[in-house]
Amino acid sequence: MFVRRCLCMLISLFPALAVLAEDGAGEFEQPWRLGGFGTLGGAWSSVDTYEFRRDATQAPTGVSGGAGSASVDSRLGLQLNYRLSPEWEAVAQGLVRYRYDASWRPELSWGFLSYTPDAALSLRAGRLGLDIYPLSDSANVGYSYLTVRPPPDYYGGIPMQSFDGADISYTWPLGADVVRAKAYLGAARGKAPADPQGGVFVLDGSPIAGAYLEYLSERWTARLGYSRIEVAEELPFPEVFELLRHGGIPGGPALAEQLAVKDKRYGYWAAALGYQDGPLQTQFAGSVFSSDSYSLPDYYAGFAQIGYRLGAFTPYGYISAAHSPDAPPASGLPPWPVLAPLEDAVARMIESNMNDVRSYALGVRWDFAQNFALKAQVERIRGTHSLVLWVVPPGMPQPFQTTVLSATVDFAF
Amino acid sequence: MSIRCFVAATLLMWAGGAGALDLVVVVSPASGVERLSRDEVINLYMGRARKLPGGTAARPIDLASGAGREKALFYQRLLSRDLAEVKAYWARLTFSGQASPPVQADNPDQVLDLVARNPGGVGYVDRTLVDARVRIVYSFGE
Repeated sequence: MFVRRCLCMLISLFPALAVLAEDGAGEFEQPWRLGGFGTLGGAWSSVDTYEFRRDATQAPTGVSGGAGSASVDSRLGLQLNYRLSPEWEAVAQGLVRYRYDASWRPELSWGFLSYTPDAALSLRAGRLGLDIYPLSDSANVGYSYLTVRPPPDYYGGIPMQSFDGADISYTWPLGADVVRAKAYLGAARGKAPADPQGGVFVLDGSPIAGAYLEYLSERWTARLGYSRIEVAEELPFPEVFELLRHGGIPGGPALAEQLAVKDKRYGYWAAALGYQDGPLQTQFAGSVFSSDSYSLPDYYAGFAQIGYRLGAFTPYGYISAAHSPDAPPASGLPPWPVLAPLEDAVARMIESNMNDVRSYALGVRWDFAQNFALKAQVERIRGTHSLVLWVVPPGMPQPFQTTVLSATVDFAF
Repeated sequence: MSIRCFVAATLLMWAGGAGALDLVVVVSPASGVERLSRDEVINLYMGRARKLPGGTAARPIDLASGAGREKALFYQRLLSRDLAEVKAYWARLTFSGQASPPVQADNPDQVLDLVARNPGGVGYVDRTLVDARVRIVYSFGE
């Protein structure tokens, strides 16, 4: 509530701050700037047992069994920048996309005040995008990247896109190149659908912190970072926890403790390397998610991507994978037939958050007009478990393979 | 001729006859800057550096996309990137609140005017347009 009040105050300050605006920004810079971006896209999938999603924050999309939908990739954002002085700037960005609750309700995706006292240092406070993974803070801006969507095996597992807090970044010149360090601290914002009955995993208010070091040269970019979150709310399965804790089942309370996510810590290591030379661009990234809870199993993920520009066309391809190294843990409950439904519910809690999936994608981006790009992509996904794909109820995760066809028009202005 | 050379040559031809333009980077004499390296020009135009070597706050000035062939040629010569790639790069920085793209001038005369009147101004124009109001600090050469 406090953070929401602060954000409301920040936004209501915009007109008042205008009075304070100096003309120091220079005669050729307008203090106001309105920009926008968007994607109109459709996706289609062949498999019956899963619904395709681009990330874990989306409600089931209906993209399954030969059906398609525009909900996976379509989105629209508007951003207002207001420069108060050469050092101070206020930014607000609104976003409409398909959400965890199957609605398209607009959200405030960014809303912050930034202070840049000199060329090297930048401080921002308010609502900020999360870049646990490289470029994940611009995942909604389809025009800014090559593929139809950031590879879901790698990017899709994070159930949040922003946080309320502050970040600081510092840039050092290193010869002709640049090294940048960034750290952030705040309270996460994110919700993810947890079951077909409408249960929602709420990350809002979970303390989150992270830092990374980045190297930028004309051709190479490299980044290494770590982020940690402590989840503030329990999974939305009160009846399972109640039964385990107070049902008099041997081993029940111990299992409930291992399944709980609240007040436990989760870490994300992320490394990335990029190379761009003229028309050639490549990207490699890897990550490790570590967890103290049975319900959110550890996993590794990575992708390798290559694109080659030929005039207005850029064909590309990527391979991506995510893998949970450990088999689902034994529940430790007695093998009583009466407990079979509970065993099933526990197995579903764990296995729907596991990863064992590989994707191969080929596509092309066509910059057909100024500020517009058309993309088409085909991908083949195989595996046994995916944190991102949605298991069509009432099934359990099972081996699958599917083809996903996608096309989008992206724009930015 | 490799595909890459062919594509580069095609792009340069499309940019409007590369041989006709001799682009140079200019600053205001008041900036005290005598020369910029190619890497310094890249860092200024990609938003990675915000100061000129002498310490003055830099104000890089771009040309609007419809303002002529200089812009496409500038980014091709500087970074081997086409304008859609440059736009995509700035879309990422803009909509993640990191930086704003350079101010856009409507034509080369306006670039010269803005550079001449701002100690931190940096612009690119055809060498034949340069006059005493600005100083050449980087030349792409032939």
